[in-house]
Formats: sequence, structure tokens, C-alpha cells
Amino acid sequence: MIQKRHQPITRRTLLTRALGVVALGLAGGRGLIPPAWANPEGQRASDENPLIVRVARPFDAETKVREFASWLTPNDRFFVRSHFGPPPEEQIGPAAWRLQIGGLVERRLRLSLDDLKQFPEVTVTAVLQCSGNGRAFYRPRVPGVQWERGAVGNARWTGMRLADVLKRAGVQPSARHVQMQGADRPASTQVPLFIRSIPIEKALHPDTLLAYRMNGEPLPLLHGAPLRVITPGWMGDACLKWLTTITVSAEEAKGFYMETAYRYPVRPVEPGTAVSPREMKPVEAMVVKSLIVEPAQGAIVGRSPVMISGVAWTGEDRHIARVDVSTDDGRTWQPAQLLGEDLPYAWRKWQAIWKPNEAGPAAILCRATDDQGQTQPPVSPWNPSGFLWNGADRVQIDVRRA
Amino acid sequence: MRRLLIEMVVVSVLSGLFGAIASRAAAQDVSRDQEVMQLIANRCGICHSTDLVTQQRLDRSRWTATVDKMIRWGALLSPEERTALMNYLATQYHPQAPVDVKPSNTK
Repeated sequence: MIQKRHQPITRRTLLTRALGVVALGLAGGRGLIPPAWANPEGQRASDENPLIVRVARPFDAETKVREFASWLTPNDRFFVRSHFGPPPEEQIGPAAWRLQIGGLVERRLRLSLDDLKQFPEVTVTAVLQCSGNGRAFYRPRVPGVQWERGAVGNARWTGMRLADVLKRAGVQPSARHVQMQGADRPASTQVPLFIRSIPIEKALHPDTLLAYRMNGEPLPLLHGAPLRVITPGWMGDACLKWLTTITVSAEEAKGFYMETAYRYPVRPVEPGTAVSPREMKPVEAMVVKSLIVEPAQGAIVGRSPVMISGVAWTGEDRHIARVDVSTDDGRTWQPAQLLGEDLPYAWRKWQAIWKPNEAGPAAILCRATDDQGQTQPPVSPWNPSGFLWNGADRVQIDVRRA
Repeated sequence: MRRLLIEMVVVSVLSGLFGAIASRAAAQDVSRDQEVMQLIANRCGICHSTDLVTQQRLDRSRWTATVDKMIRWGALLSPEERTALMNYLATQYHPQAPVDVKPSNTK
């Protein structure tokens, strides 16, 4: 059945491609191939771009895993996720930009960035991770940006506590959620606005920030300048960029991005099945996860001892307890050494030394376990939108004979 | 000898005929694909670049749901264009289609 369906398609595809190549060579920009296909915006030579571009517009790009050799991920190498892309400068420049706080508060506030900088300054080092990081590994495949391993990074976020701003406004006792909206807008007015909410407990948590600096630099435009939300230990869907409006409310925010998107099944589901949004809850805390930074995928190593290193992190109120490494594709595991300080929300570097016994291909795996006993599974539970992937990381390398 | 000659003529006429039909059908397929590619670039491309489309590997029902969501979100597609787009996506970008997902940390 499948064969029958595929046969003519393959031929046609070949023909299309052959003609496409001819058309590109001969006709170039003369309209036979639409310009957006003839010259895809995202397909620059990869060496020019420090990021792996998944979607050229709105810009979605992930970090190359080799960059995680640095404990802090540099701003220009930090992954970018955009729903609609940055708003125009005139809306977020200091003259125009204001943060409005309303809803179930005693006093409505309208604050400039200078006003906000009067609040005590706080810095938190925290992993920021796209909820869909690793989506490309789910089978059956799910729709969405096909992130692989690098929609994550570790940065120092500086700003004020959301709790301090909310206390200035005076939160009413009936408040249960804090709704957030940014200045970014879709190209079509029929596209739902990106409005999110977090429970009041997370909003009042002393480590939940409104950040205006990233790794000591002013927050870059692509990362939400002038102000973004940082909910340490939670996935990126709560970390709204280009923040302009905070509404304290009794209810979760309405709309597509709370009621339909960014939801995860409340109980395991059969892979490939449809799940009603009512059977799902918002994606919140991160799950335990680790990455192999070195050796890189496809590396060729000698028979002398090989340093295997990487990073590991987990969700709110949890700590990395251990990282185990396998050099025989998961048959046996050895503990890795955890390095540096154990800071809440930041990732932890780890390393292990391996002396290869034989030449040939080898698969290296790593899996982290946190202090609440959660361990990375070989494959994460399938869910309809491909969130929270944390399957054990794996790189394929080659051991030289000599 | 005469029979062989007749056979040769018949074979060459038939193959010429089939060849013409086949190449015409292929040309039609190609131009139909070109039209759908134009649709994707011009209509879907208002909100996002085409790479977001071509990286998906979905079955027909998920493609239908996706295209219909995009129509609700303002994508301008006539019923005929919707059908053509869905047919193209479901045959070109189905779950078994080749994936050139590259390891992310090789560079």
C-alpha cells in the first residue's frame, strides 16, 4: 500500500528536483521557482552563523552543543525562540516602553525601565530551555519546530523580583494567576496573541525575575529587550519576552497559547493518539536532563584516554545527584564526576575518563539522576506536541586503530 | 522479415506514444507542484519562512489539521488551493519521507 503510493511520488519528486536544479541554474530569479525557495533565508553557510537556524522567520535557532563547553552560554550563541519576532524599536525604546500592572491589584502601575531599576537588583544563574527542545526525536513525529539538542542554555539573569513589583501594586487576596503579554505581534490579526499565565505562587517566588540583563549585558533584542520573565526551573514557555503587560487574575489566561498549546498529558498516552486539551495541563517544571558536549557527534578519537564531558540540569527545587556514562551503547554504566558548585537552577558540568579498549565505532550515552530519584529514560513518553524530551543523550564516535 | 519490420514499427510508434503521454503527465505534475510551492511561499510565507513547512513529517490527518488551523489564522486559500496544498504536503512531507536531520554538534 505504502509502496504503491510512494512509487510515482518518488519519480515525480526526482523530476521536480531535476527541473528545479535546471531552473535554478538557468532561470534563477526569473520566477519559475518562488524566490523564497530558490534562496531560503535560513540556508547560509553554517560557518557564518553561530547558531543552527531551524526557522528563518520568525527566527528560531538552536545552539551548537559544542558551545556548552562554556558553563555560561554566550548571548550571541544562545538559542532563540520567537512566536512573532521582535517588536519595532519605537515600541520598546525607553521613550515608549512601559510595563503596565493591572487586574486584581490595589494600585495599577505604569513603570518605565528606570522606575523598575529602583527595585533591588537580583541575579540568578538559570537554565533556559525551550519546551520543545528535542521534539525532533519523538516518534511518531509531531508538528512544530524540529528542535534537536540545543534549544537550551545557561545564563546569568539580572533584574528585579516579580514579587517586589507585584507587592508594590498590592495583590488582592482572590489572585490566583499572573497573566503576561509582550509587545510582539503576529503578521495576521487572526493569529492568537501570545498570552501566558503562571500561578501566583510561581509569580511571587523570590527567584522569579523580570530580567533586563543577560550575562551582564543589556538584554539583547532577540531575547526580549528591554524586559523578560525568567521562571527558574521551569520551561521557557513561561519566560515571556518584550514584556509590557501583567494582569493579576483569578483565572488562568484564556486563548490558544494557554488552553490548547504548551500542554502536556496528565497521564501517559498511546503514541500518535489525539489528546483533548482538557486531559492535559500546562507545561511547567523542567525534567532531569543531560548532554554530552565532548566528544562531539562523529568525532574520531585515539586509543589514549578520552575525556567525556557535558552538562546536566533538572527542575525547580531539585538538584543533580549523579550522571552516569555508558561507552557501550547503554549496556554498562559508570558514574561521572560532577564539577563546580551545585547551584539551584544552573546546570552542572560533569566529566568522565574513558580508555577505549578496541578500535571501531562506539556509542557514548549519558543520563542524569536528580535528588528526587528522577532519571532520564532511554526515550521520553510521547506527547502530542513533543514537549519535555529528556531521553538519555547519545553520540556516535569512532575509535582509531592506532 | 516483414513481420519483424511491422513489429519494430508498432513498438516504436507505441513507445513514442507512451513516452509522450508519460512526459506530458510528468510535466503536468511538475507544474502542479510548482503552483503549490508558489502557494506555500506566497500565502504561508506571509507569517513564516517555508523551512517551517518543509521540516515537518506528518500524516495526512495532521497536515489537514495544520492547514485548517492556518486557514483559521488567516491563511488565504480557496477550497481548491487547500486540497492541492494538502495533497502536496501529505505526499511530499509524510512520516516516511527522508529526513536530513544533521547531528547538531558536529560543527
